[in-house]
Amino acid sequence: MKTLEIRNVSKSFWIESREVNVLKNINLTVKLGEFVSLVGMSGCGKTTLLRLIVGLDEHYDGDILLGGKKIQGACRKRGMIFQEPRLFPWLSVERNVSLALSDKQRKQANGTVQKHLELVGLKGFEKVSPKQLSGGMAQRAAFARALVANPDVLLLDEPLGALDALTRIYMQQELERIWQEEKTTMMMVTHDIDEAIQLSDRVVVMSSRPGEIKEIIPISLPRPRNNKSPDFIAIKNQILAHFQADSKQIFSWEI
Amino acid sequence: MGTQPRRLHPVKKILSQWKGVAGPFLLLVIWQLAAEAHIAPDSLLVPPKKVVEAAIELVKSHVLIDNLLVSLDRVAKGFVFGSSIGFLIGVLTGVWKGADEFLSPILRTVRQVPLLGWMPLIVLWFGIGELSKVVFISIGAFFPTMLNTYSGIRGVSKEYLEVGKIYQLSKARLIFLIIIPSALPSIVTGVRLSMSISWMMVVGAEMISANSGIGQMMAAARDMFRTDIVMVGIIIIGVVGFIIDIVIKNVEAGIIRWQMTVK
Repeated sequence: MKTLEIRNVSKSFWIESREVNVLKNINLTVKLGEFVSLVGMSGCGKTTLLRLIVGLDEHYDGDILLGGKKIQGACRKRGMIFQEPRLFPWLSVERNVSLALSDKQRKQANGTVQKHLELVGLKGFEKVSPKQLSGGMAQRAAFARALVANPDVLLLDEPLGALDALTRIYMQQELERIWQEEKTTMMMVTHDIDEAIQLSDRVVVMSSRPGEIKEIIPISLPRPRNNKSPDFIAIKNQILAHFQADSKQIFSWEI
Repeated sequence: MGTQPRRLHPVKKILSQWKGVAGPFLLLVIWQLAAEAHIAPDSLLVPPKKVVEAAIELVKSHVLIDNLLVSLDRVAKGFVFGSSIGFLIGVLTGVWKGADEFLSPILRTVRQVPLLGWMPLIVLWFGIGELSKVVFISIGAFFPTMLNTYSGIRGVSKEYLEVGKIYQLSKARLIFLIIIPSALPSIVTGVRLSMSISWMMVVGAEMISANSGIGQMMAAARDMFRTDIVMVGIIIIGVVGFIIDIVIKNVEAGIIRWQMTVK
């Protein structure tokens, strides 16, 4: 079982010879196939945590383990999706996706790329340039690229943050469908509390400076979820309560 | 749905197309008037008519075309050699920090030498034959391509490189699929500068020592006091340089279009 374990992880940056504690004693275990969201104010280290797990940032205290083994650097077993699709405009959609495969996988992978383009609803767009895709479609291509190598865990850094409101609602449903079909463990950073409740098995609420876990809220509402239901709204209020208390603190601290 | 292009009045359209020709034509008229007014002796300020006659004579006797081909051949060799090495060194220093630290101080020092300053050493090492001219042009062509390749590679966005890291691209795939395509606009600008410098260098090299080429034709004409032939040379150098620049600009636009579309 490839469980993702984050044990006592702390991380600080040096900004103008002052130490800024970005993450403090983060403990979180994400089970196989689970969907976990991180919500919190800007600058609470959510993105830093994802970057540590994927291996883009290094040097932290504590341990990050995947399947019981400490992670080292980047690895195809850990995929990541950013707010912007980051596709290469000089490669076709298909070649952008196959980029994520190792040489060995590319040789064996008969139709894997095709299958994943179908999964994200981009069948027929194989030879198209990313320049010709809309924002939502480009992000779908990014999903295909992130999933094609069958990662154990997929990290999503505000994956729908740059989309317009209508596309965003649609893509939330699509993301839920993709997650259910692929059964990949997912960990998503979002500013949208509705989105977090809509998609997650658990929502992790974080505070800022230092970034600490304030509460982990399990969400057992049946899927697909209705954001008008009283249970949904109750959970939303429970999460929002953290930020109302937090915001006062931040203001007094900043002044 | 595009907006409709602004329609110009037919006369205005013709005028706007011919604006580029009006300048040279006006210059020609002034030149002719100045020559007719005899403000300087004919041997120094040759009337346009005599220059045209000299050009016709040079074309008929194949002197012009022969010398032009010799010069273009040298430019091609020096340009291809110099800018290829420049590209390779640019990639090497751009991608590999060790090479950058080792080579860049040397290259930055060497670049301070004016291009003409190389001439004595080149003559000593390679004589005054064809090789020395090709080497001379290569040095001129080397730097713009090298520097622009280097800065293009250094400017590849961090976001792109992170994607390469996440998907564990091999060094070769990273260089050929991400770094070079991403740096391409800058590289092509360098190549264009290299080309135009090469064309200037060949004329200089031929004026110093050669027995053929456009520069040599002009130097010989100067010795024989043939101002008309010197003028033909100047015009040809300008026109050929202009044409080369247009061709390369079109190639540049094509490559950048390619960068933005499907491979």
